[in-house]
Order: sequence, then structure tokens, then C-alpha cells
Amino acid sequence: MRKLWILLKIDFRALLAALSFGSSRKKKLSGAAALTLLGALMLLLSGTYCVSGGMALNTIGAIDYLFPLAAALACFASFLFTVFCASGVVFGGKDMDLMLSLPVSAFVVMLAKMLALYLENLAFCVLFLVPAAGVQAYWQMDWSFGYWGAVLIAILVLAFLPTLCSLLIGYAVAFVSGRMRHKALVANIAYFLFIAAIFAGTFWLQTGMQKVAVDRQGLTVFLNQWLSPFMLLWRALAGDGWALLLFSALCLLPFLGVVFLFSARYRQIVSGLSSHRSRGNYRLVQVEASGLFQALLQKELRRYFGCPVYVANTMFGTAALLVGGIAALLFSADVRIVLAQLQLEEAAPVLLLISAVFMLSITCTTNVCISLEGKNLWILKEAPVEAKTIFLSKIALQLLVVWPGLLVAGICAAMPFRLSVVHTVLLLLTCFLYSLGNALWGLLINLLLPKMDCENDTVIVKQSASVMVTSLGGMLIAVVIGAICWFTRSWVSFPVQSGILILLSAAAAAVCWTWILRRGAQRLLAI
Amino acid sequence: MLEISHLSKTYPGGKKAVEDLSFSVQSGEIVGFIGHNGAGKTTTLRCVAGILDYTQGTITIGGHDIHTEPVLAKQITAFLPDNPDLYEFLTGIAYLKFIADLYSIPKQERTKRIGKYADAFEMTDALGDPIGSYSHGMKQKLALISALMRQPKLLILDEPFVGLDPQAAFVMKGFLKELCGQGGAVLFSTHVLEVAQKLCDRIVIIQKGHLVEQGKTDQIVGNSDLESVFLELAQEGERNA
Repeated sequence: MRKLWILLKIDFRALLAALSFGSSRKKKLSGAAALTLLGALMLLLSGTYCVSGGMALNTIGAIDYLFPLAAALACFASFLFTVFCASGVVFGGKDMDLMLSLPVSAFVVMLAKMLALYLENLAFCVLFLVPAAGVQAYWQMDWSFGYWGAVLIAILVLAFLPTLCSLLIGYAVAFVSGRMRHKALVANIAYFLFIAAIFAGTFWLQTGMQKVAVDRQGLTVFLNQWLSPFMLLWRALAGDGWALLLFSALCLLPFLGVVFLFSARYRQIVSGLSSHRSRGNYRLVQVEASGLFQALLQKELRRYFGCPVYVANTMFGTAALLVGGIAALLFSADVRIVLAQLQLEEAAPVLLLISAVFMLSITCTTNVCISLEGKNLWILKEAPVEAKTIFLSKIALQLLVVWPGLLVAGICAAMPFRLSVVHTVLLLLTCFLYSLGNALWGLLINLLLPKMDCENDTVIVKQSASVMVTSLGGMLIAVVIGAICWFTRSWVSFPVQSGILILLSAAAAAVCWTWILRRGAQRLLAI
Repeated sequence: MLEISHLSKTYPGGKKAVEDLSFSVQSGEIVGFIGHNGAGKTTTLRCVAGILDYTQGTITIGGHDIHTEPVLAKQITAFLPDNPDLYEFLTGIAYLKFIADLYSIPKQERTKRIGKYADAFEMTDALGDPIGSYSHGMKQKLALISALMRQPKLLILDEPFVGLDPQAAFVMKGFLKELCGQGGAVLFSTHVLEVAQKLCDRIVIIQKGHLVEQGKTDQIVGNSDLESVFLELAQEGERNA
């Protein structure tokens, strides 16, 4: 137990260290302020969501289903948050040699890493579920100790579920890719299939729920059929202690059991992933030549596709746009019916713009591009290359990842949404410039908040301070842009809206680029 | 070739790694840079390579100030760190191609040079494998090949003998002499004093960031050996401090 505690502290500190803004007091305070802001924003978002959800449920007399539904949603969201982490954090990491050489069982090593992930999921669940419990208590007028005790226990055990699911996906990816020659390629394909399955599943679940959840009875049937474990929470909050115990056992025991079972093959998986196939029969032929920029870009592309978690984390937005665009084209008749029913035909370009801006905000490869250089940064610093060329190659990667998908998605969506050529061009131009601005913003933030000594690329990509700041900032900007565009759509035409956004994006990109040109090289040298 | 004048480097927090350090390395010279652990050798070499910014002083390579003309200075320099971390996602040959592209080595020339150095270090067969599969010594050899194939005017090496097998160390010494014979200059740090004594034309000794002694190897060593001289100077430095 003592060894587990020691390892857990180390693993959790490693995850927290990625969030560090720096060692000086001022930077620590900035980091704490940013984290507090992030927490407050999450509370605000979940609070808003829970209040609106509570109002809808209250109208059909089903407010008591709010917490179980929110718990299912929190479980799903935190699973998405950590799913790409599990493989890297539990089975990867540069500290593996040290960990496996310690006189500690593989079960303890693996459990410590899993518990560190659990603590992250727990923080997310707390921020999401406390407002839900509060809203439900308000409508039910139930502020009893028993109610809040059940809520507390439910949150504590619930966080084991997404952690377990993340482990299963991470294990599957690690198990398969560890046996393959092209590990990164296999992992990339596996993650892509997983994301596609998530999209399909979410769409199916949402459609199914809309059909049945028109009254309390329909909702009860749906919940009992598809989310039955969460109905134990409904009983638990109503005062059923046995239901709470059963739910706790359902969350905790499979977690421990799976960790125990997988730990038996832990060394084999870690060895498989860390070992490389070597042939040792290379014959030197003519070595091709490329230009400076091309060489740097090729290196960026190789790193990108060689780091599955990097691809998975930044592919989500582009994949969502692409899948959405193609789906809209395939089901164009349904899209038109829905738009007509909701009387949103006129607002179609604005809707597309808002969706695209939000997805582009969470698609940023540049916000970790400096951190991922890690201990290799000396190679670029030593080379006779201007910092500007290095930065341009990193920005080009983002544009290569985003723009082709964006173009296809935009053209596909234009037809079912009946966008004119002018509207389509404006929409695409706005998105292209917004994406460029986002790339520059990501690079700027990463230059200010680099994390060069992480034991794990996964931690850099998923949890570093730079990622937090750019994601938080990007989402905030997207929400503001979305709200302004939506509420002004009746008196400001789409060409004017997009024109203003084009100008703003270009101005923001210019400001960021000027800073990067003036201060970037100095920052790079100081890292 | 290399002029270091009144170099000072203070790390955040106030630790002075190097203070008022001045010395030079001429073309055709191999200069050994010697000092205790933490004496400031790596800091100095990284400042010279343009990897680390410094607080005061000037560093010029072939007449180009590393601060004001970094690209020109780096174009004629090669640096090999003590523990070369290379891109593990690239194969050996892809890494060499990447470096050749950065230094604009002509297409025909790069194949010839890679062949020459890779054969000498017995690395040719492994060039198609990912760097992640290399041992520490192989990474060291690959970094060395990437440095030598640039045919630099100034070669800076930080503890180059650590991790190299005796055969590779012998080959490397030959290439260092060859480079100097062609008008290049070599500055390297080492703890292997016998090698420094045999290989170097001149020796620079630093302690706690300060220059303690510099001069021709035979003048510094005299009838003694470098180890005795180094320990004596170190003790003297301690007493003066």
C-alpha cells in the first residue's frame, strides 16, 4: 500500500507538472488563475446545461432523472477526455524502464498510473455533477444529508467507469499496435475507427432518445433499456442504500479486476511497444535532396503521424467536420426537412459557420509543436536556420491537417444546406483564416508556455498548460463568435458577418505573427 | 576561427555558470576543454553552438558573431552534445538526409560523405532502422556522422568519447586530425586526460566558470602529465577561492 501511495504521488505529480506555467511565483499564480478560470468555466457550462436540462425534464415530471442522465453524460465526456491518454500514460512513457526495474509488482505500477488518471476523471465528474445534483435538489426541495451523501459516493465511484473504459480502449490499441510493424499507423487507424464509432453511436443514441423521451414513461423505458446501471443512481438518490452499494461495486470491482488481469501481461505489452524492429541490412543508395522548408515540414509530418495521440487529439475537429459534411450530403433530404421544420433555412450559413468555428477551435497542432521537440530542440537551435522558417513549417503542418478536410466538408455541406457560391466561398474563406489565426495563436502560446521535460508525449498533447490555455481560449472565442453571429443574424447579413470575421481573423493572425517574428526567436533560444 | 571574449552566463536564479571567459581556437588546431563536473564546460560549448543565450561577452565563429549573425556562424559549425537526443521517429538515413537538407549539402556530395563516415563507423547497415532502435553508442556515432558530413570549419564536441567503443574512438580521432589538416578547428571537452594530452594542440582549463590556464599542451604539461597538472591547478584554484 505504501509503495502504491508513493508511485501514485509521483504519477499524479507528473500529470500536474504538465500543467505548470513555470517555477517563478508570478507564473505559478498565473497557472493557478488559469486553472481556476478553467474550473469556473466548466462549472458555468455544466450549470447552464443542467439548468436547461432540468427545466426540460421538469416539464415532463422527470426532474429526478437529471442526476442519472448527467452522470451518464459525465461518464461519456470524461471517457472522451482521457481515452487517448490511457495508452500513452499507462503503457508508454519514458519512465517505464525505471518503473519496471523497481521492486514493485506490475499490478501496483499499473494501478498507480490508473489511479492518477482516475483523479483527473474525478475532478471532471465533480465539476459536471455537483451542479446537476444542486439543480435536482432545488426542484425536488431535497437538501438532506442522505441525498448529498449519496451524491458524494456516486461521484467518487463513477469516475472509475470512464477510467476503466479508457484503459480497455488503450489496452486494445497498445495490444494490437505492439504486435505490428507499423505501430503508429495501426494506432492511428484504430483511433480513427474509434472516433467514427463514437460519432455513429452518439448520433444513434441521440436519435433514439428524441423518439422515446417525449414523456416520463418513454424516458423511463429508454433509461432502463440503454442506461440501466445509471438507474441505480436514481434509486440511490431516492434513499435506496443497496442500490448505491450495488452501483459502487459495479464501478469499482471491474476496475480492480481488469487492472489485475491486464497487469499479468503488462511487461509484455510495454516491451512490445518500446521495442523496434531493426533489419540491419541497409544498402546506401543516392540520398535525395530537399529544400530547407520542405525538410522541416517533412520532419513535422513524420512526427505528427508517428505520434498517434497527437493525431487523435487534433483529428477530432477535422474528422467531425468531414463526417458532418459528408453525412449532410448523403442525407440531404433529411437535412432540408429538419431545417424547414425548425424554420432555419435562412440561418443555414450561420449555423455552418458556428459549427465550423467551434470545431476549428479545438483543432490545433501548433499548441504543442515546441513542447514536442523536447530534448531534440538542440538540433533545430544548432542548425543554420532562421527561427521564422522553423515556425512556418509548424504552421504549415496545421494547415495541411485542417484545410483539405475543411474544403471537402464545406463543399459537401454547401449542397444540402443550399448555400450560394458566394456564401460557400465566404464560409470557406472565413474558416481558412480562422484556422490560420488559431495556428498562430497556438504557436505563440506554446512559445510562452513550453513543456520540454515531460516523460510522456501523451501528457504534453493532452494536458500541458499550453493545450489548456489554447483550448480554453479557443472555446471561449468560438462561443462568443457563435453567440454574436446567431443573435445578430436577423439584421446583419451573412456576407457582412463573414466579412467582419475574415477581417478579425486576419487582424488576429497578423498580431500573433508580428509577435512571433519579433519575440519568437528570442523565446526559442531561451527555452 | 573561434573567438570567445569576456563570456559570462548567469542562469535564472542567479547561478553564474561562466564568468569573464576568454580564449580562442585557431584553424588547424585541436583544443581540449577541461574542467570538473559543473565547471561550465557544457554551458560554454552550448553558448558557442548558438543553443544557449549568454549574458555578456562576444562569440565569433569565422568572423561571424553568433548573436548577430547566427545563421552564417552556424553554417560553418557542427556541435555534438554529450548525450545526443535525436529524432527517434526517423530512421538513421532520414535523419542524415534531414541534416544534409538543413546544411544544403549537394545531392551527389551527401551520398559520398555519408558513405565514407557511415562505413568508417560501421553504421551503414543500421541506417535503414529507426533511431529509436539504436543503442546509446550508435546514436553517438550517427550524431558524429551528421556533424562530420557537414565538413565544418569549427567542430565542437562535448564529451565525445563517452559511449563510444575503442574502435569508434580511434576512428573519430583520425577524422578530427583529418579535419584539422584541411584547415578546420576542433574544440572538445573531455574528462579523459590521457586522450586530451595526446590529441590536443592546446588545452584550456576552467574551474567554477573561470579560466584557470590555457596554452600549448606540451607547455602546460611540461615533464609531468596532464592529470597531475590538472589536479594541482584545481587545488590551487580551491585555495584561491
